Amino acid sequence: MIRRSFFGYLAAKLPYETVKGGLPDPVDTALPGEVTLQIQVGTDQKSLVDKKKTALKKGVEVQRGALYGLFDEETKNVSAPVSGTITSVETRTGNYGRHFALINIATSEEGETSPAFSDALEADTKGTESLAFLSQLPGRPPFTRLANDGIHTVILSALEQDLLTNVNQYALLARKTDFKRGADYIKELAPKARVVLALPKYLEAEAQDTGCETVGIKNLYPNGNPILLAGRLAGKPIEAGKTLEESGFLLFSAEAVAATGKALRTRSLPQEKLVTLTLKNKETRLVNARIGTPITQIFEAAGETLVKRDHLIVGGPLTGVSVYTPNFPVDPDTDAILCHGPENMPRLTDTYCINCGKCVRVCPANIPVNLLIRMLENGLYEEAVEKYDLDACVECGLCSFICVAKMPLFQQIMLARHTLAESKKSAEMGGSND
Amino acid sequence: MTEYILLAISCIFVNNIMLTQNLGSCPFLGTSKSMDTAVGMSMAVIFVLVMAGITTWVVEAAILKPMDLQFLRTVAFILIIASLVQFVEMFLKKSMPSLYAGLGIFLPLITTNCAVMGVCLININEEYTFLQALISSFCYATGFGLALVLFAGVRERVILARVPRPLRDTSIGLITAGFIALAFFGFKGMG
Amino acid sequence: MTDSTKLIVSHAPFYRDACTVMKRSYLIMAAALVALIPGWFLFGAPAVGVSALAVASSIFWELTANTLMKQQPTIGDGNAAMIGLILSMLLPATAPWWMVITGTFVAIIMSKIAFGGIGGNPFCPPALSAAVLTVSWPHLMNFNGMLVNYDMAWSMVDPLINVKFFGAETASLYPPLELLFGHQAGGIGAVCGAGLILGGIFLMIRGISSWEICLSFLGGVFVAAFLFNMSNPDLYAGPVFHLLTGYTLVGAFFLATEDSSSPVNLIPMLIYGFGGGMLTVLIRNKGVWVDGVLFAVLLMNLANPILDMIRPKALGKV
Repeated sequence: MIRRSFFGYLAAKLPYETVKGGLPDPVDTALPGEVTLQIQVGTDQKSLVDKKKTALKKGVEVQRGALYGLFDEETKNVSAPVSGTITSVETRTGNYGRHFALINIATSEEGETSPAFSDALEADTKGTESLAFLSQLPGRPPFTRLANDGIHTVILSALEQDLLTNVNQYALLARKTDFKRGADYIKELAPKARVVLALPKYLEAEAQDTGCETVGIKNLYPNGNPILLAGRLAGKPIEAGKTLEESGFLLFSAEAVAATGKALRTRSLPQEKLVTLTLKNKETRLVNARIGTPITQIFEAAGETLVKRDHLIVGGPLTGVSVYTPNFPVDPDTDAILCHGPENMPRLTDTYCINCGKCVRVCPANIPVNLLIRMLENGLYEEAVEKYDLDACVECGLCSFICVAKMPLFQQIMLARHTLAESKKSAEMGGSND
Repeated sequence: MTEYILLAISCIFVNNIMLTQNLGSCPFLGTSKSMDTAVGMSMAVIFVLVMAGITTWVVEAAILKPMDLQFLRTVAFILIIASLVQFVEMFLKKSMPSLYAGLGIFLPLITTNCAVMGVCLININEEYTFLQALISSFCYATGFGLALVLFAGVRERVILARVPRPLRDTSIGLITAGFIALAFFGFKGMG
Repeated sequence: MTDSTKLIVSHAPFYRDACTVMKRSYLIMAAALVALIPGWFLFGAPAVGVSALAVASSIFWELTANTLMKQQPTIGDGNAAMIGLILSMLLPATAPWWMVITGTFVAIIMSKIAFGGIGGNPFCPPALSAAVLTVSWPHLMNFNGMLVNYDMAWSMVDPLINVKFFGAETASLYPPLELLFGHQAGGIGAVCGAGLILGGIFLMIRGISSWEICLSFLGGVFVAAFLFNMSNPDLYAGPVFHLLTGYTLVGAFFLATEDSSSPVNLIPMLIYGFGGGMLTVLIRNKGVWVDGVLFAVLLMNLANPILDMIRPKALGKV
């Protein structure tokens, strides 16, 4: 899958998957008996969920396509992908202290689609309510933030976020009319912003009729990284330590744009997520699954069973997250799911950095990773930001991929950033109390 | 001209005051834990050593030698260096506060730096002319600064490495210093 | 959501490049063997003995240190064996056994384990060890004295000693082609220039030794020797002679490129290599030492942390 040149001085090339061999035919997954919705919650909200003080609780009936609020009816932040009854509400803690509320919904057969979305569109196509609905589409388009001041560039990206997926390229090609409609809608919403379609070079000719300004980009990892992409489109890198939004960029994935177009056309919310599945035998296939479907069902449909001690990865091999249960749901932004057996587990070691310099050569942000990791190993996080550019990291994971000593470089970097963010947050909280 | 260049090379590399003659090892080990302090110390040493070298040479030539008071040399030089450092400190504090703040604690520390005393005595023992004494003072100080900065660079990395606990800090510093001296052995015979 | 099927979790990335420290060490050893095997043929059984003892004692020292410090044994990564093998390239074929063992002690315990094992050493262990041996027992590292019993078809006088004490015209005794095929006195693995060049090219294209350091080191030697030769052709030998004698090629491909003591960015690497090459010739021509490579490498190792401060600006930094 990843070919390594004999000529070691060349950096390893990691091409994204393409749709060059013809468009794949997505396989539909049957409607699951139970779906799970994940909503990220803060630490204070987590205890509320644990104490069962949510508006969505066991026994509540939900309707497909309707919008609900987890805690109250005011802030609606979750759309039900199926009609049915909530069976339980749990919490889970993910990487770096992120908390999630999990809402399990038992699907009922006679699910009627809620008319709420088409009503909202009737009322005002560009109203807040319509945008709140659209933000729930597959790909999680950031519609609610489009109205923010200072957004000067909207990137529609047909580049993938990680390896082993081609959903955005597929969405751009196979759903071209919907894509065009979605792109036009975004242009109407943000009349002052520059709307650019970033896409792999080989697709440039295909995208002529979308009517967007296009920028062809080499289909190599990590060119699809949002921060690198924004820097390339702006002509100068965005300032280290700032988020995409703070610098005035918003990123819509091609799949989200196409889904928007479809939503406007059909006046109902599409809630089928495209996912590239990679099986244990390295075979990849494109599947179409309802948001919230347990991953194990998708694998079952593909003829793969997950057993104990397997490795299940959501979101791609370089930046994804490995999950602890095969019942993990498909999220609106899950592009790739892969699994492999314990024999393919990457081995990490406790070897000290041997200073071979491969990470420095491969880093797209020019970070002196060899010196940075020495700081991080000793817990000198502030110094790492000041002297060794920890804040410039774009979180692509390439240093960890290439590391000869097999150190957990990416984990160390993420841990440091998380720790710094936490201490900054607690300092701010302390400051406001005084 | 060649003579002076050779003297300079000899003072900086071949007879490096720290690595070959082993003078000034307290600040060498004490101020080398970070690059910033090492650079500050080097600057302070260069400044003071040049001043001290000139003054002691003049005192030796103008007072001690004509009056046959050479037996007072050590006492006189210690006094001169100590008071010079104090004067320099007061002068800098008044006229160049930025430089004073930059050098900070290193200025008074130099009083106890045996390299300063050593170079002043070497200047007299080798019977250098005034110009030679000036060059030798400056170059010995530069050599000290060079060794200190190089050592600080290495030591900053060594501090971060997984050195076995019994060897941490000063012990590994001394081992490193020994190896640096070995590397400077390469200059033997030049100049 | 949870059920009985428990999966293994770990942190991204989930794909890893296949190159490991062990593979790296073994490739370096393979490249070193290309130069060592001709040396073994030239110097016979004692040379093989020295190499074998160096490798074995290196592993022994590392294992002893691991045991004493109650660590997991780290000899599996091949680094100790590699250091021993490279050290043996620098030794004369008739080196006494106790000198080999002392050498590996310095290389493994004092210059590697004391600094925290692989990756922590600020100096190249084989170069440091050979320098310690040269300073401690100059007569045992003198190839004229050590190889006096070898009766070969070519001159067994160390070319560097000849040129240093008898003037540059003695360099004509050593035609470059002869030097390439190892017809000279020198370290076991340092005599066969052709083998070293082949091994070095292999390491460079595999990306193990950075080509920037190797080539700039050789460039530094060439330029410095050329300048010296131009200034006084009677006293100083030409650049080709300096490139093919002594430890120059070993230094360029195996010593200067040692990972943890060499810089990683382009410009520092070029300065590091070029400076090392210049210092080599300077010490050979001006200093008291016959060969300057060891000291030049150590001096550049010393400058490495400072050189590494020259680096490109990180993305989005002003």
